[in-house]
Amino acid sequence: MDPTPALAVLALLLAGFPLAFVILRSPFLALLLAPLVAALLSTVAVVLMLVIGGPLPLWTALVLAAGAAAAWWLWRRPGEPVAYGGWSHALLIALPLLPPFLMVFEPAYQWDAHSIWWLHAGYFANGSEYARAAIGSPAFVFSHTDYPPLASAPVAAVWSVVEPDFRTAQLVGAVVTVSAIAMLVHLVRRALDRVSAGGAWALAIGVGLTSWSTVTYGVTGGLADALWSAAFAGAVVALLLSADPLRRPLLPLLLLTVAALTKNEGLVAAAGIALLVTLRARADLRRAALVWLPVLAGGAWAVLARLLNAQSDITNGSSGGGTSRDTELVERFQLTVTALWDVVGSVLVGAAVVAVLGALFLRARRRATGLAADGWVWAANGYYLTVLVGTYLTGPNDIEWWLLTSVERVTLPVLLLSAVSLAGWVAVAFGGGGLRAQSPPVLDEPREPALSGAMPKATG
Amino acid sequence: MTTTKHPEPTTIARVAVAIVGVGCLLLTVQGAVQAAGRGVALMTDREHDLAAHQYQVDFETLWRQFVEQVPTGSRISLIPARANKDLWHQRLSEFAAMHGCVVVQGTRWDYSVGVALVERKRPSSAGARLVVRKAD
Repeated sequence: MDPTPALAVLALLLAGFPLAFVILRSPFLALLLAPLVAALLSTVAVVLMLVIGGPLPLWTALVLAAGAAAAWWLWRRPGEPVAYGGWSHALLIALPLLPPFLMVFEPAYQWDAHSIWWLHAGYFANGSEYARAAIGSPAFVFSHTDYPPLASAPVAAVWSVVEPDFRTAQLVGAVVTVSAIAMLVHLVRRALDRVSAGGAWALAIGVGLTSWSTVTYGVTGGLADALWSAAFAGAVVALLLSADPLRRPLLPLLLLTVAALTKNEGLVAAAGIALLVTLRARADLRRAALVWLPVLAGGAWAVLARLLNAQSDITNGSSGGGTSRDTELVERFQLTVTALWDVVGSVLVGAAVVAVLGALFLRARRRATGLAADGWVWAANGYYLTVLVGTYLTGPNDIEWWLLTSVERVTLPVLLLSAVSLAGWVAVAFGGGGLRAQSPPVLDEPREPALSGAMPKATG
Repeated sequence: MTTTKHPEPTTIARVAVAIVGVGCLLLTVQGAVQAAGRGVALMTDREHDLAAHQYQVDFETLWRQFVEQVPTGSRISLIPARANKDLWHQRLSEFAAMHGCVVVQGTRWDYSVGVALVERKRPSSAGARLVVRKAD
């Protein structure tokens, strides 16, 4: 049996662990976060390689060394372990995710995994000169070379030192995606801090398992949709559902950066969240400005891709022949709404009914539960849904082909945010005697320094 | 004389929210349940999804042949396949990117590369082979 896939996962854990540990101050949770941190570090290495030049292994080594130095610096700052960071909590997150993760045994044959993410990993692994030429090459225009590099970068880092193989690529992508889902579960559990433990864990795990809701192969098939969607939903939970949005900002900022650097729609979604967080924390705009850093990172990639002559399928079109441009806007809208309804309709309507009932009758109980107003999550969901419909309406592709090949994957954030809203209200409804006493009302402004837990506190 | 005690609106709302909310969440985790069942089947039987398995065998076979027959850095021209043109065009482009080769269109090339479909000896054996021709 080829040990390469297992060694690649071990390398991800080792590479990401130091920074993951100082972010969470829990060795158990850090193991769950490490693959995602490793993916982000390898993305930095890929970007530096493209900008400055040279081979990828050199940049990977330099970035890992810099990451370890940053971890050492952060470790020496005052900080406390994150809540729910014990070994039993890590197991409560990991074990329920294992059964659907068995889909990783599916053959590595998914079209987008090969044609987009592993192809990009292939040219990144061949060094700066080759990768720059490939991104701008007409031969690879079908591969969406403008797509951000995070889903490909960890695979490229592995392939730059070992013979490429698809099973390794699939396992690396799956582990990185499950890492993001694990953080989503952890953040929902933290947000439901004042709810009874059993209910809060059940709801948090339910939200995490929603990552498999649209396509069963999405998490483990080598695609990027579940990765950015879970990271995005995790950031929404931390920044728009929790009581203290910027109390421990490193994890949500990391998740938002992952979303912005994984897919183009992730960048657009991250910009919307940044806007909403700025509104929510408008009393202290200086702290709220932190959430624009991930948007800046995603925007920097978009600029770099354009400078390297990458072409976008949204602005140029990628399939469908000439008939799509003749399709009436109304017909495109009807087809889009029908397709969206088939995938998200029932859950979205159910979540809306629950939200309306909750807003009418359970607002006081919600405040006692320590959750922010549900409107923030719905604003995020509505924003993304609007952008999605707008893209389908105005994009250049044949609408039927486009919907058929994408709608189940790109609607995952809608279902995840619906599940987040549902989990919040169900927690409020079931709260009853489980709600902890002496719960102060939730504040929409941060009560502690924006970087507490990561930066020294003022002592003067 | 008896009195009827009506439940408070908040209580009714809590029950409704709990029932509808849990019902919707159960809908959203259905995919994970299906993935778990399918994952177990795939783990215990490699050929559970034979079509997917055959794709993987074909891709891995062609990739191995590509590495053996086309030197790194070669300029290659892609020969259109007789069937599934997009699939094989994109797979060969992918192999080229993974192997540091340059795909050229119409200009000078070192190797022409294509895919020929062959009859499978067994359901799980390769159904494609690489056709490579060196420039004169």
